[in-house]
Amino acid sequence: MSTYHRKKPILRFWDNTGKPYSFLVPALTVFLFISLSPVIMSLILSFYDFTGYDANIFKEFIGFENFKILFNDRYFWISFRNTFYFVGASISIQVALALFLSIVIFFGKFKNSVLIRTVIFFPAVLAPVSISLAWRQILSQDGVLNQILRIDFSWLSSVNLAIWCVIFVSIWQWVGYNMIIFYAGLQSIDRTILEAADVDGANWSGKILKIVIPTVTPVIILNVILNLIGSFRVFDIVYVLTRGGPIHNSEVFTTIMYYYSFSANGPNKMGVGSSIAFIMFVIVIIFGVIRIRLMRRGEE
Amino acid sequence: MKRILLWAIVVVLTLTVASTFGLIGCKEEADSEESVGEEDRPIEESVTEKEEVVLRFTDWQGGNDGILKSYQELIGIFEGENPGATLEYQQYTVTTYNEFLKPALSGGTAPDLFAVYPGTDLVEVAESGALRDLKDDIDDEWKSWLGPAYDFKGMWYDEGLWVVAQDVWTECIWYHKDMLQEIGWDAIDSTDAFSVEDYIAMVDPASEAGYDVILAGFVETWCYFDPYFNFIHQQQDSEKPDMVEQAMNGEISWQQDIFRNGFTVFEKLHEAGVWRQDALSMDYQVQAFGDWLERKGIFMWGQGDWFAGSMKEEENNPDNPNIGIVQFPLVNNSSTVAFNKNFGTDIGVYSQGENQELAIEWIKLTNSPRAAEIFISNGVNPAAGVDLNNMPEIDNPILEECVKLYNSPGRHSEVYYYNPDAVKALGDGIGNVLLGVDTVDNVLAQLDDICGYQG
Repeated sequence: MSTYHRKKPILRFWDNTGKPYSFLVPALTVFLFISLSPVIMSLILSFYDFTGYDANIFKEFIGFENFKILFNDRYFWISFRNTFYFVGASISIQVALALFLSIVIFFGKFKNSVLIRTVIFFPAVLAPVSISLAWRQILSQDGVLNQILRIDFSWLSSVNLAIWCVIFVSIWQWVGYNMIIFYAGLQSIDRTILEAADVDGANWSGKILKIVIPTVTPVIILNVILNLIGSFRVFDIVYVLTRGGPIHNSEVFTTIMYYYSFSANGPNKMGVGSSIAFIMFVIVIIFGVIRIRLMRRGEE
Repeated sequence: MKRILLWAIVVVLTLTVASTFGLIGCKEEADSEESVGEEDRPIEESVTEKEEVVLRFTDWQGGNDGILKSYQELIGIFEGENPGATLEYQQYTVTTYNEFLKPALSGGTAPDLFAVYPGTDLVEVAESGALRDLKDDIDDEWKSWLGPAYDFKGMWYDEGLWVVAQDVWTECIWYHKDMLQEIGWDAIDSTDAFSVEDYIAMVDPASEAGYDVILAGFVETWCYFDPYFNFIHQQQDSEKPDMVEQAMNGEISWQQDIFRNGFTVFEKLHEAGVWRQDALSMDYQVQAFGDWLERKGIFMWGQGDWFAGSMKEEENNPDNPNIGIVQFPLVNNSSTVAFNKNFGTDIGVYSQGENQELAIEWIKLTNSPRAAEIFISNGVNPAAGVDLNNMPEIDNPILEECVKLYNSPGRHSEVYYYNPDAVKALGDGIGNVLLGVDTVDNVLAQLDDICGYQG
């Protein structure tokens, strides 16, 4: 005769649910320290007059003064605009170009398809700093580009064009990365559907718009998300190519945050830099929520 | 309900673990503070007892071999004279230095000795209480070594002496003499200057010869405002009162011709093509200077004597002293040459450091006559004055010229002012005028606002 010991409810609760959840504690601890605490700290700092040199970080509480300084600074609004140019171009031009290239290479049946893909992908494996240094030479007034075009123009000193030069270099570097992801996605297309479309007399544009693109939509969303995250935090390309210049006209969020916080003979207003960090955080959170909603809707 | 309870448990556990780590950290910090207290005794005592003392020292001279070699020699002397003392020297670059210094100061882990950007940054660091006031530490002997450098405004703030200069510069324009002669102009004395019109007149012949007239890089806006201050000082009848300082303090208006003329110099040079358009997006230390070394331009809108150690030997030797220097362009016929005599690196003593007396000994050594000889032998212009009648032998012609120039009399032009917002607005303002996105009158009106000029 066997005896059956029924566990107490609290022990059962611990075994079934408490214990698994407790395994989250180490990860959450690390998350709190490494990810969440800087966010909270930057929010707190944005209400203090902190130069960065003081041992007492919380010397003077100034309320929303840092945000006021920021919103009255025209260079902040330039950086705001440029960041959205950057993000917009990355999720539209770059993704569209990558999709176009991947379709051409995938369906083009080129003899040297692997070589072409490798060449286009190659910039993505290089360090952005070295790429920027090379492009700085190419775009300089006595650089290769002007010599080819036979013009005397300063691309990086142009108020209106400097940021677009930076965006161009960024797209040039990362389009191959997006293209490879699309290329992998295209491999999942069922060829028989395309053949059936051929039999039905569908033309190329019809096949691309009605079969290929709907099939790779999840990959498009993936690339858009990757580019969105990457372009919001862009720093190295801008800093090396233009250092935010001429006179702050190609600043983005990260570079103007650096300028306020660390720049030699700069404003030394780390509180303002923290405000920018917090604004960035809020914007990224908003985009994150939109993304999650869109993906959920897609799944449904 | 069950889910809320679960999450509550997870959060409580997480916070408990987190706070435990935090408390352990605090405990260790408190322990280390105690040990600091125990060892907090005069340095002489600890050195005579031959205890190990490590002094840490940082600056922004990364890439400057002359400074590095000089300090390596001086460290050897210092450690020899202070048994048991070790000096660890760490270089950062100009553009990344604050990334190191700020966290170090705010985290309480700053080195015993550290450089501070003179001018606006000095104000912030001095006000933070991180620097020891060295005014009473400098004895008469030390003062005599420093000579006129003791009065550098950039070392003083609010009647305290917060940093001391190690090397100095005569901020001016450098040029290749043979290239200038090639376009039909003669070299002039280093104490002299070409006018704005002279530079404009050089544009066509230089262009025909395939050169730029001046290579410049204005990404660092001090390449705008340092020469701008010089332009104002050139137009003053005497050095005092300093009109820039008066305007910075809101005592006089920026909206007058003497300040407008400074902008005009930049506008004329820029519009005439004396430097190329992309000078506005170039940096002077690498791009402009690199191009100038490659002889793409005749002049270099220079910013310091550290260039002296980087000259190509074939055109900077006693047999071929081909590099020359001249002062910033003369604003007009009635202006007088003014010298931008500044310092390159400076050092302050960390007010929370354990070995401050020893740290001061190090700074004094770097200002001594024997340090001056070491600096010069490595192509660096020393802050400690050099007797022009008893000059050490210098086999670097341009450095010799710089040392002579720095130690010669002439109208001194200040470049360090303590109104960061105004200095920033001025630098950006000149750039914006050259870019055509702002007007001189608008920039000057903004400066009046920033400086609090009441009319």
